Amino acid sequence: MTNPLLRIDDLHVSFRVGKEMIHPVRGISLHLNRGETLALVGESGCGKTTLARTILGLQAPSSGVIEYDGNDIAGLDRFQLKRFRPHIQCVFQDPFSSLNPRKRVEQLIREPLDIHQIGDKSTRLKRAHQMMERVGLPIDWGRRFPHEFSGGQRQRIGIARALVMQPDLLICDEPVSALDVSIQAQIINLLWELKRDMGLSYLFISHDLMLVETFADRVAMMYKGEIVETGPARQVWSNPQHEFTRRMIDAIPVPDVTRPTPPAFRIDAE
Amino acid sequence: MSNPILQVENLQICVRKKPGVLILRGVSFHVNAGETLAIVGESGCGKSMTSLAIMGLLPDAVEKLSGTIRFKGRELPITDNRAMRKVRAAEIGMVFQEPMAALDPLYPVGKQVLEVIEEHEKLPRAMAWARVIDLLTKVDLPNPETLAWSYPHKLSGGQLQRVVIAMALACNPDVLIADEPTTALDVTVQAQIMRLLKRLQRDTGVAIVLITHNLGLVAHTADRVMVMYAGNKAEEAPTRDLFLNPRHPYTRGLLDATPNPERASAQGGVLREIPGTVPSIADPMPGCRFAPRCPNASDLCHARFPDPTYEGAHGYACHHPVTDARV
Repeated sequence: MTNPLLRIDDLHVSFRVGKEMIHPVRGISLHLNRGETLALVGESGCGKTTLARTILGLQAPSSGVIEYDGNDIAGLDRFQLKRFRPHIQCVFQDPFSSLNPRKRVEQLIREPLDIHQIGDKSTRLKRAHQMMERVGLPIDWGRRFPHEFSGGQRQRIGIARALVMQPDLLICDEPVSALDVSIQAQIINLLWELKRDMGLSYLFISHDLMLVETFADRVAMMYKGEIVETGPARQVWSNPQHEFTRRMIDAIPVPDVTRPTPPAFRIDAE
Repeated sequence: MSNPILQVENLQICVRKKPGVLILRGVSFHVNAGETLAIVGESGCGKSMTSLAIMGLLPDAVEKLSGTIRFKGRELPITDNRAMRKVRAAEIGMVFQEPMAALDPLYPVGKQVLEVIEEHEKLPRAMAWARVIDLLTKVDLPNPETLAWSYPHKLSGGQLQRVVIAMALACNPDVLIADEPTTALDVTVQAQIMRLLKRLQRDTGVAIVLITHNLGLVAHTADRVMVMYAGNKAEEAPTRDLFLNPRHPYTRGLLDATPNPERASAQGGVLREIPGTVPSIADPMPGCRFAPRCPNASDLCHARFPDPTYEGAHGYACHHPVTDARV
């Protein structure tokens, strides 16, 4: 195996909620190769968002290794973390709550450059405009506010904001689950093109098995804080090894009337 | 089979005092007794507004401009809230998308089911309560006697949706409107809830109007489908027919944009998108509202809205329908 871009080994995360200790990530090991799309699939509450937050340095791990390009990033202090952050960026699920409604779009996209003090003001604005163009937003919309955009367009803003730092790894946390099917296709195609043109790697968090099989190179099935199965999607679906994977596959309604109704939907099977 | 229990005719809904800003632009359809009709479309197409109109729950910001809604042949007084209270739950039940928002956090769930029964029927408390327990049992909730006294926050999303279904079916309605009933739930729970709805339908003969954007759900649970786009009915057909032989370019686009790995390889690994976005409801375009995004559009499409064409049970509103079947 060649040097992976991201390597996680026996990662544990736990934190306190009220009086209770919870343990959402329980000994996860996985790797993501350069240029690869790895999908993280699981149901709500399985710990996939906590895992993403931990990789981003927004949540401290309780033990384990997170290596990025061969360097340990789990133990960085906040100054080192700030310097490291441009390498991994994130696109969030909800394009409505993830953008500051009081900032203009070009300001929003420029903001990461401002924070990291990259270039002078006019260079940053130029980079923001280039990014807008790249994700399919007209530059003359830069002075508008987020509420003037549709869900799909806002997700383009979110992508532009993440990519303006020229990261290597983009974590996409359910980037299209809030969007309509026709718009979802536009955003997925955009992510696919960006990956091809900019040499990105994706950690793609989703619960949509059909989408994942179409878009990802490999999947990691996550269940109750653990990775229970990994492999190319088609291989995992056709020969699931874990009970959870099997249950999930049985519950997927394939949008195709020529395919048999999945077992979990049939009332004659009760 | 044609035995319409619910008939909607030329329903037009506009923004209050703005008859030019139409949310529903003259929608007609029917629901047969005991069938499942899926209403499919993207955000803003008017599918939820249709269901709210049937329930007499239109928000204050909109009003009915024209059209009738008939239940068992008589017109529903959808603007008369007092009269509609007798219809809701007793004749037409409704299941909402967010079960947590549909229940009152301050009352035990059993009490909320009881409230529905007592609103419609004069029954001794003990008998009504026995019916609550019976209903909770029918929707497969564990330990119904104990669970009836639980508050909503103690229950999972799937359990809450079962309670909402119990409430909707408490008075044996003839029609159940389910507006995105599983969108907030995990896929395994979604399958359980859909199976529950189908089983209840088999046992009680209730007709289900399933409002959804999930074409996979439609393929495996609906008898007929109506596709809506920007306030219009684009197409309606028996489910199998719609998936294999869509005639409206929008239906075709929607089916092709849905991730389906079996078809993906033929498309080069990415999804087929529908370019552009839905027009604003305030846009007074005279022709087909899908025309700006449509691969088949001509000058005629931009000038005049197409009249619906019917081939048996399959109807569509398009000047240039798709002719090649999906393979």
